[in-house]
Amino acid sequence: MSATAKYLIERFTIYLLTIFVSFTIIFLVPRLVPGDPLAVFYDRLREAGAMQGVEQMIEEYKRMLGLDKDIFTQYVSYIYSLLRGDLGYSIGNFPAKVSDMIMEALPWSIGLLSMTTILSWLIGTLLGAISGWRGGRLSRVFSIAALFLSNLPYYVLAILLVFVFAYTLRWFPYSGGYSVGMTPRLSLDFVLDVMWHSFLPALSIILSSLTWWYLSMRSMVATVKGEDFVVFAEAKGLPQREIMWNYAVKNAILPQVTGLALSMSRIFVGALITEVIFGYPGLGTLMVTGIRTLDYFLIQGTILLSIFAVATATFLVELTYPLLDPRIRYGGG
Amino acid sequence: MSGTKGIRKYRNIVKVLAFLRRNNKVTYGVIAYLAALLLSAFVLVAYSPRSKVVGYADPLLPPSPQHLLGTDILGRELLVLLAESVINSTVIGLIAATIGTLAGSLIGFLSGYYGGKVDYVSRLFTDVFLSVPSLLFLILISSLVRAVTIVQMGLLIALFAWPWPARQVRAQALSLKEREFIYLSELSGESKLEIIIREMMPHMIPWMTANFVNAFISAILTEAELSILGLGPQTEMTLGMLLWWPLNNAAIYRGLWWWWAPPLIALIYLFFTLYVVQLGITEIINPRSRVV
Amino acid sequence: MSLLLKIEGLTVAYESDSKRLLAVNNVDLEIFQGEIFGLAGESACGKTTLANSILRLIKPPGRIISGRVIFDGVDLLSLGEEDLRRIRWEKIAYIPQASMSALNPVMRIYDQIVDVVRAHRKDFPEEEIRRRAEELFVSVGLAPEVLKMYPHELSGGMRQRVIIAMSLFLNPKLLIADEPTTALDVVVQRGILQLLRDINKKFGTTILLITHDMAVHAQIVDRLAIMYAGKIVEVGPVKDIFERPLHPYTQLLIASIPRVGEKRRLAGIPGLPPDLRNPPPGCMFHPRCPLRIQGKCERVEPALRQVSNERKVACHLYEG
Repeated sequence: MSATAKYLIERFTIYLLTIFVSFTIIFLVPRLVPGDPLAVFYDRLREAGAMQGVEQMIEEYKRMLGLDKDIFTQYVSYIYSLLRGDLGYSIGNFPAKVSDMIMEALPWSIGLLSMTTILSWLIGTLLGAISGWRGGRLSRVFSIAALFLSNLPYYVLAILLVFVFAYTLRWFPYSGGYSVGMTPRLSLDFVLDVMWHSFLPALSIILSSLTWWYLSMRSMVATVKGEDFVVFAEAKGLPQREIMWNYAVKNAILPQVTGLALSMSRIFVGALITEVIFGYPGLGTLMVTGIRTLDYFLIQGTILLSIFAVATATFLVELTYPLLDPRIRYGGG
Repeated sequence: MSGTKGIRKYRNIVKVLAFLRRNNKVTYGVIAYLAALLLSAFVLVAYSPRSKVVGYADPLLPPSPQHLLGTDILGRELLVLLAESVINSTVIGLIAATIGTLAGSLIGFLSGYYGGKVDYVSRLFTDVFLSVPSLLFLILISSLVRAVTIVQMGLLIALFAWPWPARQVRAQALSLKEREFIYLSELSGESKLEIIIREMMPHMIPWMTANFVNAFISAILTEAELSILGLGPQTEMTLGMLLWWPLNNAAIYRGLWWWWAPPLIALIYLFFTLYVVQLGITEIINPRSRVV
Repeated sequence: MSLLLKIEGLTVAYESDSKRLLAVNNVDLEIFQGEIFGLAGESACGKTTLANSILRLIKPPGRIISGRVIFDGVDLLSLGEEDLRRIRWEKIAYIPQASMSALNPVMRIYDQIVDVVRAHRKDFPEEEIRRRAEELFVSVGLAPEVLKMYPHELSGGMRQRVIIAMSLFLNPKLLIADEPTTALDVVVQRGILQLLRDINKKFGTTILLITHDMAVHAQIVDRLAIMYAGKIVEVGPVKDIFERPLHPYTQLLIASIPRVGEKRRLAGIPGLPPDLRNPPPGCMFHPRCPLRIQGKCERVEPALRQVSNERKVACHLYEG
């Protein structure tokens, strides 16, 4: 079996295992929580002012959590429903199904996230490579600033951007995915409207993530620059630009991609919070709606999907390693 | 006997302080943070507790000489709320960081020092906790077990604060275990406990301190994230809650800048001071990583 | 014979934390066209730094402080970047120490040959490159299939030979080989030495061979220079030096080579090389020198002087 095939099987196994373990933990959480989780909900619902049909909702909760059955049966039916894609019913918007609500929000999140992750990684990596190769005072000044900014939480920049660009300058809207009164359709003005609404959230996420990539690529390139084969490339009389790309960057890019895979969950969570601040109709806002309406299944559903999304994105990134590193492609060495 | 143990504890504390004072950044950062705390304490003492009560003044008043930071939607004095939240967030950070670092270090140490099955199991446990997106799980847990008080919030965050110190300390314990001076000590007949405290602790203190600061920063930021999402201790004031109130009431849109800007600035300030401390500690541990 | 490379007063320093260390200390050297010139000395005596500085490959914290490196009439140290780039590999090829890690891990061997050819001769036809590459590989004892492989698939010895083959591609005038046989087994070693000798004979390529291994020098080198603590202490034809070593350090070096059939005790060289951050006053070697002159050697540094037609020594023993 080729080295690549072995590698892919290994990563796929870990991918499945991660999802499985996480889903199991999520299963256990409400059942391990001290006291009767439903009691908590009774109280909350009562505090929040009982809406009509509270008893019906409680019955639904009981049935859906399967608390009347033993734990193994519960687990089996949990896994079974997950495999069917059944995430339960939303308590707040009963009888809406959680999976439907997620399906509505998902495209927004995927669109925003994939674009911003790729863009911020590309730009950050590019700037980091040039900075790491050239060195010099400007590069050091940037990296000190970047060090501080890279650890700043995502919501800080989000709030500032809303204030400056939406409130003060009124260039962009405050929230939403598209303007009120527009109906989603595949037309130019709708698409433009969406882009106008997505601009600030996207900018916020890109800027918050960029510095991280900048710093890691910069340090990677600076390290690789001192490697034997780079000095040898110089001895060969290759032009500087060619050495930077084919020798330094090509070797530094691998850990940079690894870093991307490892940061998936951090970026995802940051993006979720950014969505909330911008009222962007993605998974983040959906989750907060669930929190606000004490809708456990909605919360659980969004979290399950988030974990699935992060694991899948990580796996997809890992698929590129054999393409980048011949040592993985051919094994040994 | 107990006298010497007491002196030993005192010496360890002194060692930690001396170690920290080695680097400018640490000193300045800590002083800056403490300054914020002192200021908050001062405000709390200076103002009457009535200013935190609902309806104390008219709601949503902009800053003025009577109300230095204005009032919030319930007519409460924002300056006082801010001071309280700085202190509360600090407490949460302390609880989470202390429990996380101590528990994590203990687990990590036992795991590394004793090895074998103990190590295997705890390593598995630690790795699982490390690889799951902790905030998502925190959200899940706290939506079921609402943390209503400051202490509960601290405990909740501590749940995910321990794996990183555990891993670090375990690595340290593993490498220390093999070092020669440990063998010598064992030969000289010191009890295992004495070896741990006298020989190994001094080496691990830098790491534990670094872990503590990291956990502290992380806890404060995590609390803010959870609260912004609406999972904070609703009845208490923390920096996160102080951000949740305005965000939940469209404060930016309504131009109520004094409601959302101060807590944000306070958060950035505290983060900055702690970040400087963190940089300083990193430089002490690894002198070659001088950044600035 | 015409002069190909003339090094004058070259000084290279390593600076760190306000301390300065002279790795190459006021070195003069002459290498003639068509010869195999050897440079010997203990590890860390400055040989590799000297080799690196010829092509200006010294990286911080190292710095070339002064001197001239005149190649074919041109001072390489004051040449512009682009002109220097053209000379590299095409006129002077450098085979570095530890060639194991000199190849780019993510590029195929063939591509690493193509890129250097294209960097110097843009219009070299594709088929020509392939043909010549295969030809060179066969001559160094490598199968043409190696061209398709990645560096990690090859052994250390194979990688070494890849680099030697690469270095011959553009027919350079000067080949600098830094420890080309260290870390290789004796059989492979012999093959490489033979190869270098063939190159020199067939193409007239001048070779600067750098190694601490005196036995290697004895086998193929024409003239030899001995280096100690950044200074040249002796120069001369290799046979002469072996039969009649002048400098005490050279004498000890030669005495330390085990010879087949001889049943005497192996003599090491007592003491350690000097700490270049605090170099000894006077002659660098005097602390370890069994023949030192009291009162002179620890105060005055001996200069490299011509003592006969082809011999130079830097030692007070031979001054008038």
